[in-house]
Amino acid sequence: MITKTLAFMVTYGCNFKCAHCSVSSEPKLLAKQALFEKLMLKAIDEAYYIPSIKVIILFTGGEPTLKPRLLKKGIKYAAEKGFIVRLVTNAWWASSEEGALEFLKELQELGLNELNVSFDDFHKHFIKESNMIYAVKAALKLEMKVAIATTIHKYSEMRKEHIRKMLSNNGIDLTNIYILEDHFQPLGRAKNLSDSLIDEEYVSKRYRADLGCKRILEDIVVHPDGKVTVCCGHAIFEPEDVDYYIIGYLDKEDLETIIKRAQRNVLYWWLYLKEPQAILKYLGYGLKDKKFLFPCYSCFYLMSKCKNELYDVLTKRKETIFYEEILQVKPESKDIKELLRSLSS
Amino acid sequence: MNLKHLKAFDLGYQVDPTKVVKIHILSRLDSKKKDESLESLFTINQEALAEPYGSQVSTDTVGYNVNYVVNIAAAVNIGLVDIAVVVIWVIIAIVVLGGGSEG
Repeated sequence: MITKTLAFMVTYGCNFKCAHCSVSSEPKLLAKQALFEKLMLKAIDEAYYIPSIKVIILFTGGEPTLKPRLLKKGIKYAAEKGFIVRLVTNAWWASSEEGALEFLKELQELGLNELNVSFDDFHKHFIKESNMIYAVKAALKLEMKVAIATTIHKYSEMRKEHIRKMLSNNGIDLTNIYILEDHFQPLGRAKNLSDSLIDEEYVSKRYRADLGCKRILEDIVVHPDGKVTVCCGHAIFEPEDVDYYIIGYLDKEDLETIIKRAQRNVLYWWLYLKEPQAILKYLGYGLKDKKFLFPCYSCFYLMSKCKNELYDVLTKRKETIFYEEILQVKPESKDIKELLRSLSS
Repeated sequence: MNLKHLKAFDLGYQVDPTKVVKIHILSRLDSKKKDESLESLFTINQEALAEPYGSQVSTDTVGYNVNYVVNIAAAVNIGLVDIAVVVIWVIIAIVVLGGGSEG
């Protein structure tokens, strides 16, 4: 629960409308409010004084390159403060090798260090493979760090190995490329995908329900309206009542106050060390639906459908849950005062 | 937006996150060592997105994320030197036992 990454959701809008998108991004959202520049600069200023956030300032969306003025300003400002700066994009701008190089060179000169390209069977409906290839080639030429994020379903062709082969066939050295593969989670627009597309075997192996969710408070997100959410997971964009993900508003408080308060929150500690499925079981749920194999879906269910039960349990048994479920110690077996003292920062 | 959860779920005192994780891991190690291998606690199945790409260790090259193991080792006050000493003793034991069976 030590914050490492600060991500900026520059816009919810995108030039594509992918079937798996948990943000439910689409072109018509581009007209809606983008991230307030003033809040973005304020967040970067405040992050500078939080030593653990030295690693990355991440610009994502939606498609952040569709708000170029804001993106460039953010990249430059974050880089000047010494942060490692990463861009997550669908590479629509890489329609030629020269064009891609020119586009990235400008961003690199402003301070961009890392490029993450989203490419998979879902994105392929909107973009050519060559865009991904040109974007990767340009980034490597500029000696940037590169990742390709691919989202799969049961019958996906575009898995990690296939992308490796594609890159190799195009003469790209794989040594410094990171391919991040994940299964779609049934949230956002992906709720409309058929359950038959869920690769149960893959999902069961990928997500273990006994290690806790290490995204909680480690990767926080600043949204266009200035709200800050406790993680970057798929559930934070749901239109339903998911207030429990909100840890504060940047127009009302500073980042350090927001993070410190979240570090005292029993619910976030519970999720961080025990996973949402474990909390649902604690509340008496059977988790028979295969969607509960997904941590973000389980978390969404917990934070929305079970919201009132969760509130009752946590307000009545906050201390007991902290000791018995999170620390996993029996309060009577420890000197409580001594334990409290040892936990204090 | 109703943010009553921020007040309602507040412990009321600041905690050191490293100490909370340390107590949790020690408790789990203590209660699970009889029926669960240590490896299962140390294995992580998510890519380390929070790290810069250059410091990532691919899960399909080593089977688990080294950063996570090191973080846990740090949390339970096990230094890299301690880990190295154990590894050296295991190698010596294999050499000695291997030699013994041949003789």
